[in-house]
Amino acid sequence: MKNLFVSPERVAVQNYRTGLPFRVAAAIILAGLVLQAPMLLSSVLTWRRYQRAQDRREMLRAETANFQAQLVPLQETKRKLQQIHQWEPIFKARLPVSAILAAVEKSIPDQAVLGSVSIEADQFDRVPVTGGVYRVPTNYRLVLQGETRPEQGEAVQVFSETLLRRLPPGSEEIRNDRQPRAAGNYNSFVLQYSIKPNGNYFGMGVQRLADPDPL
Amino acid sequence: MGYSLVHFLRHFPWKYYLCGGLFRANEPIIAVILSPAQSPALVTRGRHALWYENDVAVMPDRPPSPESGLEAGLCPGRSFSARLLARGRAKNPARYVLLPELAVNDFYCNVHRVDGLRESSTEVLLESLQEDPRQVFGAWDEPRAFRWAILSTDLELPHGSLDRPHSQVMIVGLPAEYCERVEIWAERQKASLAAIIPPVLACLKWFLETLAPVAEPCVLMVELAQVTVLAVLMEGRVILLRQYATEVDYLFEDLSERVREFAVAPGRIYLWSLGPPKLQLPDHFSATRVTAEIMREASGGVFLHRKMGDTKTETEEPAAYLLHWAARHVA
Repeated sequence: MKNLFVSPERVAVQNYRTGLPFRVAAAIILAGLVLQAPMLLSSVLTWRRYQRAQDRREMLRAETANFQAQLVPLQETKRKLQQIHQWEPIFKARLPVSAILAAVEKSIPDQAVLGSVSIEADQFDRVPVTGGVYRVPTNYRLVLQGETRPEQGEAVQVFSETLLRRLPPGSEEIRNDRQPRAAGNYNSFVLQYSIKPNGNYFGMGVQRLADPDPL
Repeated sequence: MGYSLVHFLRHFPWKYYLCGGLFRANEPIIAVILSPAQSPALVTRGRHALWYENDVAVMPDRPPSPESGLEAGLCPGRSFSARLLARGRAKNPARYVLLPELAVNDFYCNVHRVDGLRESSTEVLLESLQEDPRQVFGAWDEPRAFRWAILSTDLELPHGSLDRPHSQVMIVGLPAEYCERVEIWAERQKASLAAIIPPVLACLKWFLETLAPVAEPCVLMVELAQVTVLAVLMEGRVILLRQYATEVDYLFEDLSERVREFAVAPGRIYLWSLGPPKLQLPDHFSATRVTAEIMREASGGVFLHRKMGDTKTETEEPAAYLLHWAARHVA
């Protein structure tokens, strides 16, 4: 006479409490929910981390936009700087001829007389800049011709070595000819150097500017 | 009731499970007889009686009785269940077995021959009764809705076909409004409801299981506060059942007629009074009164329950034995 005059709905609800199959099902459901807890916690933490990253990204985006706005007035300056930078290889390949002449003047011994000094540029590179294309030399050729007494032949050698030490690093002696002159008491000589324009002209007495141009 | 996963999840008893109900082995059972004369209650756990209360009618928030109207809402203080369980040193939640004594008009109980019914199975018979009892009885002038149950004549719940195993069935019915009131009350007590068994059915079942002679016909008269029931039993089955309100003279006439009809031997008439005995059968019936002593012998021992101070006390009331049996049998 169990459940006599108890409504089926009520019996079902009561069975959910006490019936073994329902208890087992409830235990499985509750265990599943308990196992979900770490996953839920992880999800919450991940979501919060994602939110923080989103906020950070938004902040950085705003900052980037701010910087972009600040950069707009500098665009013209940047363009001019780029144009100036285009001139850099041209300026770098210049050779201070007066310094070369000064080096020759300081190096020549009293026993030798120079007849001619020639400086020529060769091995050109093409450098495009705003307004056209420039031919920029990558090498200079220095040719010295002179005379010396026959008994003082070593003076040419001293002159050549002294001059080579003063020329920019990387410079080479290409030619060193000495010939007796048929009509007189002097011997002629020809010295030829290859000079690389590398910007290091301090050996020739060129000094650095005290305050460089900020541009 | 068709169980379904959706229904289970919708009525998932979270609170009950999380309060330890998931692993609770056996709940305490409270069996209560609700009678206008006396309403005894018994708290048990398993086979052990924890507490016996002589009369719960004076306690607040008591179970609704059939004659009382709609109960008021929540009573202040502890609930009825909490009070009784505390006395029996048991914990919530409880399971209730209620034995409400109903008036003749509130309780339909009769034995029907199966071949006189059109329905071929208990399920169809129940459906017909729920739709309209006149489909089954022919004459039914009760305007109230009833809840119905089909019992075999040995007072078991039958299933399936009614053709062969049951030549007779008992149809019992209670007012649906009262059953709903009891369910609402049990819900309010946070308790479960094991069954609502009219005391007559409980007495008959107990009698069939313990005292009824197997071979000979016998008569059992159950005297309640408002109703007297006469039942003729044969071969462990109820073959006739009558309810009488107050017509004692007619009752004796009917009893004499049934004794003759079924050739009931002298000494095979039993009289069982759940309350104070008022009915006195004439001597020529040679009736045997079902007393506490007889119940004690039939139950196989003294019925002990705890009283104040942890002392065990024996009771002399037949109602206590019936409640103990109902608690064990039903729950």
